[in-house]
Amino acid sequence: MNQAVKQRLLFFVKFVIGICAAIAILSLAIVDADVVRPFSVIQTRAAAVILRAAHQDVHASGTLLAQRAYAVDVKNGCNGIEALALLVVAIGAFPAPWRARLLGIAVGAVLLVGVNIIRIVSLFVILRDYPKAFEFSHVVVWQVVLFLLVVAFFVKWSGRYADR
Amino acid sequence: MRIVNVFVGAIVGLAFWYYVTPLYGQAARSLAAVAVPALFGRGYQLGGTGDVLLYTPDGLIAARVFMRFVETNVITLIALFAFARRPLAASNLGRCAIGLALMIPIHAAAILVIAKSFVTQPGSLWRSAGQAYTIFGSHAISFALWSLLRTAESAAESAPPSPSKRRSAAR
Repeated sequence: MNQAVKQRLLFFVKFVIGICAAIAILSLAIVDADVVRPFSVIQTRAAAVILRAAHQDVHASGTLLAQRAYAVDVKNGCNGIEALALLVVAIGAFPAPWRARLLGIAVGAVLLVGVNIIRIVSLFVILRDYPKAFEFSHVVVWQVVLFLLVVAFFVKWSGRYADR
Repeated sequence: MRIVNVFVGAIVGLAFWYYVTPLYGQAARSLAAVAVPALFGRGYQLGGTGDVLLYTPDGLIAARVFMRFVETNVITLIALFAFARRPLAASNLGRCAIGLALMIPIHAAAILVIAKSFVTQPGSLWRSAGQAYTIFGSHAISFALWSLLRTAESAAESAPPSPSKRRSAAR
């Protein structure tokens, strides 16, 4: 078995262990209350700012984004924290200098949060204007887009350090 | 260019998910049904035509598993294989097919975990696992599977040639 294969296998093992650890950490009540929920609230507020800038009469209250009879609740799974966890685990498992890892996580986090805010805005508009398409957009389209964004970013980032 | 490949792969994956997975989901459902008595107790059984329903021994519905959402990771798996330098190469298509076949027992396990998460207390390991799979775990599995199958490909490429190949190379 050559060095590259060993490294890939090691990456796989670290990735699987990391994902299990991330799931366990994110399911802790204290993490949910002190990290995940504030993270969702910030994104809900940012989405409200964007919608108001587009002359939409919306208001944000906690994780709830509402306009008249329409409202979306930014729950776990809608705040992009799982996508971010996936990116952190993948970058953490990859053999690269720590400085590069931290930079990758920081840039990736900004990108993911930005895209997730766009996702919340778009889902709010879809719920209001095309309610039949909401479930499909929410569970299929945006999940796949966010995941592929994580992978594309990771592959681009890891390409700089592969085989060094 | 590879981004275009991924986009096309995602479209192909979406078509596969929409048209093919309902048929291939039957295999996952049948596999999951085998483990139901051991996991839930005697008399429990799986049913339903589209979504999977877990019935109690009294015939009541204890859980409903939305198969469409269990199977969305086939879209990402196909999109990931489209990321290869030569996505239509036979070896890449073969590994993608192996990945899709491996998804059947994974989906069977997901059916059981999600069904179990309906009948256990909030905060339990089953609940967390079911939620994690539905939210993002399914895609993490397709990433892990893709990564593993790429490793297998690298191992095959780096393996020393067989004696017959060495002989023909020496001629």
